Amino acid sequence: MTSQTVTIELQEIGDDDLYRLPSFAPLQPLKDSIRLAGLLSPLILEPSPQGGLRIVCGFRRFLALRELEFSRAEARILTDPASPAERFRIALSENAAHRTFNAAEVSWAIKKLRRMQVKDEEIWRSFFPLMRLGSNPNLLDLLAPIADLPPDWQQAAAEDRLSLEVVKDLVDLSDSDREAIWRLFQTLRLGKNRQREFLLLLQDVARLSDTSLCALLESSAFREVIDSPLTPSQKSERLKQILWEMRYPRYSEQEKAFVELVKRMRPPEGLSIRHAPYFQDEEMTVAFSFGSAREFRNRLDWLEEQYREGKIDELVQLI
Amino acid sequence: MPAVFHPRIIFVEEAVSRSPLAQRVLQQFPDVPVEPAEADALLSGAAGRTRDLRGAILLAKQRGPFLRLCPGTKHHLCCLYHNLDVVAGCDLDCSYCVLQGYLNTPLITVYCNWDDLFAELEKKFSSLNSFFRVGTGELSDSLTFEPFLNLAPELVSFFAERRNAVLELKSKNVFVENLLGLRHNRRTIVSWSMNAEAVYQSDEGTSASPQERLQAAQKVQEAGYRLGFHFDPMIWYPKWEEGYREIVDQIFRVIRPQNIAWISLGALRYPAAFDDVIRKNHPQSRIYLGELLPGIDKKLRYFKPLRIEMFAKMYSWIRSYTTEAPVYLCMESAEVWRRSFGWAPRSSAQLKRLLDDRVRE
Repeated sequence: MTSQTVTIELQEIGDDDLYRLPSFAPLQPLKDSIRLAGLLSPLILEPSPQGGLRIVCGFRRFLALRELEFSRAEARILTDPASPAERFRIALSENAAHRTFNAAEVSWAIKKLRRMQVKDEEIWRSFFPLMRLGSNPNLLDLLAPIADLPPDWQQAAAEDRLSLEVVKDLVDLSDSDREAIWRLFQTLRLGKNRQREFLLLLQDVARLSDTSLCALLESSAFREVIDSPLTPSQKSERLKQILWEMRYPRYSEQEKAFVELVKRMRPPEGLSIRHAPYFQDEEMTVAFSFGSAREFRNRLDWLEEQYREGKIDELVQLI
Repeated sequence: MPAVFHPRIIFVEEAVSRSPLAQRVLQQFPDVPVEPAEADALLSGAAGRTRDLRGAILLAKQRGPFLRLCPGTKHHLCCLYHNLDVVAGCDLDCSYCVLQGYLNTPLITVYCNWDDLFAELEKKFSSLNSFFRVGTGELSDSLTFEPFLNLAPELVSFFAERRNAVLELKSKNVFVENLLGLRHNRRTIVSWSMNAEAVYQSDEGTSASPQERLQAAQKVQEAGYRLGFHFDPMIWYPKWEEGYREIVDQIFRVIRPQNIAWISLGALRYPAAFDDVIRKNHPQSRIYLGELLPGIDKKLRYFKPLRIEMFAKMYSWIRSYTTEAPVYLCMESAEVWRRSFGWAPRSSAQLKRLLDDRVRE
């Protein structure tokens, strides 16, 4: 690689952002560092085909210098001919040397490489290891769409607050549906694990009801919960219950009947009656705890009584 | 009538390149590009990433056994069927097809070492004192590639001579011409996977219509074959009763009950991980919107009362036409059998015996 280190006028640098990865971190710490110690690593530049110079590496440093009203800076200018992809490799490599890439940055790197006509296989085989990622094509599928999301979502991905599993679905949503989901995720403060669960349920219920996500979330049943004074976690549970009732009506009806019947039986403390998961098996489980022979006898008496009164039969009929 | 599959490219493993079946396929498509290949490399997940394998055929050597006992599923009754894997892959593109999950490649693999196949079957059928129901419709559609593979004559003739085995060709297609003039000795059952017209329209890809399947069934009935019908997977949709009742009526309008070897019922079910595959490959489909919940075998299945309702109604409609053709459930618990049909086999072995006896003769 041929290069020369020189001091350049910052105004020689054009606004060509061919190699730029959007930054999701605040600039202030870098500005403080430059103010204190000066520019420790020179900018890496190349002659721009449009004339002047363009940045290969150091967009944030350039931005910080400009905001600090520097007019000149030290730079290395790459002069040997190289393809954009080869130059971008240098930029990624230089960044990887001193930090890890977040999901949004990787997504932008994929987007840029694709624009440079680099094939997907080369991206995951050759560029992913450079960014300290495994050579995994599935990772490319998961990360690539992030760069097509609105800025708020990209920021959430950069801060590891967004489940990668929902990204593909989010990209396919209309703007209004995506905004509605954003507001919902903010309101419920859903962790990454629950984002996918909620989005899938919402999408299924919207399809079953032939309506949009946006309209569904604006319906009174949902609005009532969203606008209520409940805590985010209580709202999440309540909304999930509503969604389940719409998504699995027959199951929810049976579950409700079971719960009501058990409630009417008034089981003593320490005794529970459970059906098989999702009623898919015909067996039920009775569990009880006891601390003395007398308590043990009481539990058995209660069960005996339920049997005599036909309540056990009623339960069996239900499953 | 569905179009006959035409390959875009043919890959050939050196080990079978001179086999009669490989030669036959290559001669059928003189203009299709041919490439030497290794099956392992082509069937790996990475191969599908680096090149488009849609419309491709791989002529390969079956290195494992051709014949496999159906693995069944825990806590469910199984009819102890044997799958004969001569082709893996299908061109019909049904939304619910489990091959999307199991094979994970659009490549259609044709196993060409048929000397090994027949040697294996000879050995298996002669060494064990058991009865075998064998089918080629598990990893592929038994008839969809028949116009150019022409596998049926050899298979049907082979089974015609067996006393303790029958062959079942299971299909959603109509290419039965190869079967019509064969001496089959009633040891081959030609079966169709049937569904309601609405399900065919929305989810059965390029399959033949139920009407076309029935016309093909009539042809093989006239040629003296026994027939099978498989309502599997039954799909719940708001007007399912009308749709399924209609297709049952249509079958019995043209098929004589005494010619029916068996009828099976099975409701949509699939491993939970397969849910994403359907959503991704068939975003327009609505089948995954059913009340599918994890069953005791961990597969997603319709909520049990829904399944029981579907099976019970189908059973009564079928029984209104025939009491002699066995009707059985595929991969269901004894409880679901009892609640749907009013009885249940005591074991998988008893279910096997029931079906064996129907075609033992």
